[in-house]
Amino acid sequence: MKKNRYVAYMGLLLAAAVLLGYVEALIPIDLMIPGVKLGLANCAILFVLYSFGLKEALIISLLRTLIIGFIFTSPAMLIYSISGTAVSLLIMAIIKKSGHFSVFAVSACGGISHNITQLIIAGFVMLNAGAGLLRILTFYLPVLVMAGIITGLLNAFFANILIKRISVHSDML
Amino acid sequence: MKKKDIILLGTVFLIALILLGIGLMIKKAPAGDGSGLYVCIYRDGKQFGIYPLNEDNTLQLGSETEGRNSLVIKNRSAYVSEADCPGQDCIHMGRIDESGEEIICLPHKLVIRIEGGEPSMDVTVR
Repeated sequence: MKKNRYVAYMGLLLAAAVLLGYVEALIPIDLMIPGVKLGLANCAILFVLYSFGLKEALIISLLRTLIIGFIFTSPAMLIYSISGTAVSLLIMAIIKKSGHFSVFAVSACGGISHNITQLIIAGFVMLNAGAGLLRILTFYLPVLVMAGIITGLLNAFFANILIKRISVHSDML
Repeated sequence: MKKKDIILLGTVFLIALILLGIGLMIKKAPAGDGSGLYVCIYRDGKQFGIYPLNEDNTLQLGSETEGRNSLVIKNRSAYVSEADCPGQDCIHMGRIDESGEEIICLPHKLVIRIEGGEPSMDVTVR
């Protein structure tokens, strides 16, 4: 019985995480900077990380990335999204585990690390395309870091409400 | 939000802001001095003058028969201040300061073009 519930919850949360990514694509906010997006799905991931644990968050975020990658974006972009997701989740887990910070810092650091990871991967492509390392370090990096903080804080605001109001973990684990 | 959150995120944000500031300063610097850019002047397709863009200068171009234009090079930009042509189009074309930009005086068969450096854009539509 417990296991059935567990599977059902995981499926529900995975669906929510996938849909949040889709909902975000529907909102016509153009942030003007290529590569910067809100990353609403991170709300769901944060919620799972706090209410369940790292293992569940890892499973859901990786599955979400695979599903989104195959349905909405091209599988060629998977290398960006999977690495960004995995690194940001691990960073978030470490910062959460340190115990010194709240959801806000955890989420913002997740956003930062997600963007930096993608930048590192994109960096190989951009360096070949002729953009200087200095330009990447003094323009793309700070812009993406700031964007990561801002979007991370926004997500934390929503995730914070969810974590406070929904408590599922007691009868789950 | 905890106090430690604000300290951590504030520090990171500040570092990013400083890096961005440095980046913007570096990017602006090379465009500022106009070195490597030259004002090239052509009449009837033949070049008859070339002047560095970063040295202020006032030139009287042409004669009574060819038509007269006054070209001013100032603050790393060039413009025609006076002309005795009927249309005055060359004056109305305004300032040029980037590689590839041109001022053309059709009645006097005069083309003033900035050359050298990296062309910043293919075409400027005015």
